Amino acid sequence: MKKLIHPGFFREIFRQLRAKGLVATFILAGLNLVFFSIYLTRDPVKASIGHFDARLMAAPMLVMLYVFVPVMAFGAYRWLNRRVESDFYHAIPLTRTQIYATTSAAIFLWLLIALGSYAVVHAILRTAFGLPINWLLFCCVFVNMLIAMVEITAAFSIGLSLCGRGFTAFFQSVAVLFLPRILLTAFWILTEVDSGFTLPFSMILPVFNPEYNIAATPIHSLLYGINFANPLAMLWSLAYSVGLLLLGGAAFRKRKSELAEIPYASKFLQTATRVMFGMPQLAAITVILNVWLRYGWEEDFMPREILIPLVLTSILFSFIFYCLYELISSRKMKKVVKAMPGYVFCLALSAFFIFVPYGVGKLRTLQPIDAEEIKSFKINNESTILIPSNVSGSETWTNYVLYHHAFNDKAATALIANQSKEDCKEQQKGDEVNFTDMQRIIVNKGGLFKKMVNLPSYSGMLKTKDKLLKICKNDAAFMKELTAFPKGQVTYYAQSLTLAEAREVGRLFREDYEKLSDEERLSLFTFNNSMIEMSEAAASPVNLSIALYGSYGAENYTMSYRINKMTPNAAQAMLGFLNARNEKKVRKELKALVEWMEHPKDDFVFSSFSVGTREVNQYNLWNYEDQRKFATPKEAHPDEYKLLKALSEAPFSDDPSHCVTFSIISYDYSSITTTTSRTTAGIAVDDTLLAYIEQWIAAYDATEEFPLEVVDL
Amino acid sequence: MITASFVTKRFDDTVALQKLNCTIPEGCVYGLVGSNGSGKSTLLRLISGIYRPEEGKITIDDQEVFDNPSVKNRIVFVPDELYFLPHANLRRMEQLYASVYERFSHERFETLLKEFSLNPDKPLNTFSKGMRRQAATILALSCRADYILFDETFDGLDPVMRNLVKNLLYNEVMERKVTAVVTSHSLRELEDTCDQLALLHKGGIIFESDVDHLKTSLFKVQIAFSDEYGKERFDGVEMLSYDKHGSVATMIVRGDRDETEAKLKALNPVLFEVLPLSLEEVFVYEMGQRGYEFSEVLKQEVK
Repeated sequence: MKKLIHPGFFREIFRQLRAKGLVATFILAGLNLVFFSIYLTRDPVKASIGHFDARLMAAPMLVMLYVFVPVMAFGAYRWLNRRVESDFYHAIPLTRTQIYATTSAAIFLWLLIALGSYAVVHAILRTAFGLPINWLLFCCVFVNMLIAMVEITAAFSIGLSLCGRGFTAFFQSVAVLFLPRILLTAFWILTEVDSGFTLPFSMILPVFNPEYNIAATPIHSLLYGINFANPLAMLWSLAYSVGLLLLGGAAFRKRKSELAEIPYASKFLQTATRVMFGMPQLAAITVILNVWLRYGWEEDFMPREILIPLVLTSILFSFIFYCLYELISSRKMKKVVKAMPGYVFCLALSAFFIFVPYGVGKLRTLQPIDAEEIKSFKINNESTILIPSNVSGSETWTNYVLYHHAFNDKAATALIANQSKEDCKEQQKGDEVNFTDMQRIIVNKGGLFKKMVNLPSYSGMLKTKDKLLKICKNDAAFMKELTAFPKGQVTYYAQSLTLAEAREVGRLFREDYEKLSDEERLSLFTFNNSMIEMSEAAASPVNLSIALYGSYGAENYTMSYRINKMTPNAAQAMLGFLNARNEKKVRKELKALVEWMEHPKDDFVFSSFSVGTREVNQYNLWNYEDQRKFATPKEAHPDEYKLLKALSEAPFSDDPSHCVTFSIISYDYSSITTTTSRTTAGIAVDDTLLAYIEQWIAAYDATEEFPLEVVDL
Repeated sequence: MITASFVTKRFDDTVALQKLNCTIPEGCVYGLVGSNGSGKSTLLRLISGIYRPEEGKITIDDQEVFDNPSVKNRIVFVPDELYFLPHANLRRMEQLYASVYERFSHERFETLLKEFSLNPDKPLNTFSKGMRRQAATILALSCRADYILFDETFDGLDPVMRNLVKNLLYNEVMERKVTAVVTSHSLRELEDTCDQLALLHKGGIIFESDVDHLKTSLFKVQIAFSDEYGKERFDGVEMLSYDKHGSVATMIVRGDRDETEAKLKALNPVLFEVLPLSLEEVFVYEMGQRGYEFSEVLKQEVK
């Protein structure tokens, strides 16, 4: 180790970086406070039960890496750009590898201290505010940031080794860090413009996947949708970073010490950087001509009088930037003229990005898949992001189970193969379909080979969806996974309950839930965002729900369950808490409601109320038609009046077998535009009234109409 | 022993050294003299392993220097433009040198500090140019290196310090058989310091010799006879130049001094005087012999 990292030299470089390192540490640790204040003040309750937010943790770290890695690298390698200093360091009896490794180690240690302090303060603050921490994800984010640290440092080491002036070294480093990603992303986007038919390159080759290079990710999507816990992505990023670091070492070893104060080590590099400056302005032309190639010329796409000046302006701008950069770096007009072949290369690269992605896209879209080729498939219920996101926290447990289950039923594979053929036919016809909101099937052909199949038209999607639903239901292993209680760390949340009460109800719910059959469990699912809507809303006089915020492995999820008489202990506990809190208010609201039905007045307006699972909207009780025919809502809706009257006089109860839940959302009297939160309570009912209510709810379910739809104002 | 074999070093289109060959023996003070841009500093940077030659090789005891810490540990280089770590004082520099130079002697460092009367805790950026050079010399000598390379060594030193440095250098050479390579664009500066001298011009060594030999092998003779005489009277004496004003002839003679004196005295001159030559004068005549115009080679020397 001493052969690689020299202790004495390390001490010196570490000392030289001390001021910068301490500033980085304090700023990064301090950023926690700022971000936490914003996070907590935005929605304190949600923040306290919400998921461990990987983005909240990662974003400040990555921003600070972008700022401090260049500062550190330029601080530690400043001598490379000054002849006198360069002579001093190169005369020291250490190998270049030792100098490079030791300097990198000193930079890494300071960054590690800064990132480590941030992570520690982050963990302390979360714990102090009672926020949950998903330790696996926490570690994954930290490791990702360490990988990013290596990658950014390596990029700047390469830039500094290749150039002898700060200005050129900076831009060279930026090019090393971002240019490959920009080009790959451009290629990826251009090949994916209209091809919802096949799996994107990003899922076939790690090199195309923006997630697989965390340091360059912000170029793509500012961390949105990044899966910090993807082991393959981490391994790839690590390998890439280490590769860059070794490349930096090789460049450093090869660097001529006399390069100090000279912009570039070679003309090739100079041209490559110029190209980086010339390319972005040409991107407009590339995109426009790509679209033109795909869709053919249409006057309404872009009139010629706009297109031609736009293309010319792009060329002019790219040319000016190209020359300007050359003039600043070389300070000689003669060199600007000499650099012109590089600009021609820029134009050639643009042409590459116009024609090659188009050609590749064409090739890839015309390959249907046979049933025999399908080893298994996954149903991805996300709309546009193909990988479940653990960042946004919107992923449901059911979607998680759905995505992680590999289906391999023969009938199912035949169905997918058929759909794939349909896709190709659609494409050959040249029909343009908007795929962005469609579900996708990801087919595993064995090994790394994957393919994506769309469910294109809405009617086609529904047909295939029904068939898929059947396939899912017939897959016993999948159903077992789906109906099992969500795994991992779970926090509970219910409106109107305190966090402690919700925790108690959640605990009881889990006990009740474990005793139920798979079918019964399914009926408690409240999700409606899944493609496999297997849960049929069971009509019930008791209608309560509890939300789960969970972390399993390194992924976050949400889930919501109904609480009714199938989960008696949880229902009783929850009704107890609600009644204790809401009795007076619900009683008052009920009386006011009855009063309003008898004598409708403008100063009392409610939004909706529900009895059990049936929800009644205000317009449903007193709409424009009713007002013309009847004097009061009571006359227009005698059944509802009778029911509300009976409930307004009944005592409150927390016995789920002999009560109904009543909840109301009323407008704030001071402002008609503001609704109050839902107020719920359990009201005792005798067998006769209960039977009547059950009938009343079932009658509504039979119509299968949402009350609001009958009102046409 | 430092050996440079067919060393070529280019900077873009400029050739700094062209197929240079030289051998610097152990235990001597080797002077490199040449005008600005002749390649002196480049040669020192190549010897100290800062630069890598494009062609040829530089070895110390048959080991290549570039990127070779075991050899570089035996070399210390004091450049013409000095650099010290940012905000450093001599103590911090001592720490770094001690950590990288295996033979660094703290005792020697302390002794030299006293000799130069420098404050080791004072920031080096508050030092004058001369004091900075003294500091660099202290650090270099404390490294106990076998090869000490000084670029424009005495630049900025007052005469007292100049003598002190020279004496220290002699001691190192005498006591530890150190090899010192010193460069200067001033021949006078090196005249009384070096054992060996090499003259660099346009990237090549055009002249290299032992200083004592140089000084004793050439001498000036003033001679006159009572009768009329010509150059032919001195046949058998190797003359580099001959000039006669009236009856007095002045000659630059090469050869054994005693032998030549005896030969000339036998001619019964009425005036005979042997005058020593300055090193500069020796160079002028030697260059002339090799077809170089000395004033071209060392522009700053001849005014």
